[in-house]
Amino acid sequence: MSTAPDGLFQYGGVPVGGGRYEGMWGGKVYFVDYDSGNDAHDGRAPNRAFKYLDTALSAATAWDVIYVRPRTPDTTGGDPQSMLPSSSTNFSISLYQARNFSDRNWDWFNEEDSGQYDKNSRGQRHHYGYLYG
Amino acid sequence: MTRIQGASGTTTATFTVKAPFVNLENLTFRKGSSTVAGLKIDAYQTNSAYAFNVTVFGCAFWKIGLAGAGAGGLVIDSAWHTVVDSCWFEACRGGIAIANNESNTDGFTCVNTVFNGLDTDIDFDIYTSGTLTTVLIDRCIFAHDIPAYTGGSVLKYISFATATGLFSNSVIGSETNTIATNCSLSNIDVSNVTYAPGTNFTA
Repeated sequence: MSTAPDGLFQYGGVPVGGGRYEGMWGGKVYFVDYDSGNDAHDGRAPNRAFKYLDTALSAATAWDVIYVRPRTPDTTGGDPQSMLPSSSTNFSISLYQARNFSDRNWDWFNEEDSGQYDKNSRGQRHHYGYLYG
Repeated sequence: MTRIQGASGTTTATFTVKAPFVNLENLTFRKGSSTVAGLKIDAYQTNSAYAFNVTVFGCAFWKIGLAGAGAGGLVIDSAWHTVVDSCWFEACRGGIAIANNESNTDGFTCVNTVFNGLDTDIDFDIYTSGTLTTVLIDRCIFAHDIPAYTGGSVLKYISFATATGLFSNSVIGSETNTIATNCSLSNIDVSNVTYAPGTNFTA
């Protein structure tokens, strides 16, 4: 999806209402940018993105959305650069502490864009990855 | 495509899903120091949190060389109704490993997926030593010769100890047209599965 004239959608489908980003079902939206983000940010806008995905996973609650920006391509011809966790604990989506896990749906989409809105090899529009619950 | 990699020195799966209705899309998984998996969909829990109805779409599992038949690029432990769609497994020693530590896995679907790499790098593409019910493998390409990893314990494209379901409309890069040589399918029905020359498999 692209930015619609009515401003309802931006960044691959995240609804934008009243000048703020919202989840599909009214939850909060978090952004993760490994190359340019900072965990001191609140993660609530692309220019205030978290650095680490696990920070966003910890911050998110039910119905929230997390967008994950792909890393800057490796310009030396090597393998693509990896997104690593902030600590020695690997990534996990867990509802151990959830009051009732059945009331939560998590979806995490991630499409390559390198910051650009072009298309991938399957002809799909690239956009930020996102997770919503 | 964002590449997710596990932390150095950490042996758990790079990414573990312990929640229902997760949809992971267009990610590449590497193992880091994991000895388990790039991605683990886990319903084996000691409390009430389980993964089920998880979809993995358009993801790549890249050169995840893990020893043992219980490890793989993608590990599914007891999680019901997992869908693997349009993924690419590249040179993974084990592609998809299915365990049943909590319960028998039910409703595993794998469609439009490619398993690629050198046969000598691969032990299996899809494997379980347990019981698997309602399996659907459709429109998949197993783009390598019969797995031949030295020291491999499975050495099949697909190996199911006990399973029911359907394996259909797929191509296996084997030059041998006998199913039993390439796969252990238990009670899986086979329909329109060809080997490399384009001939249907025979029982």
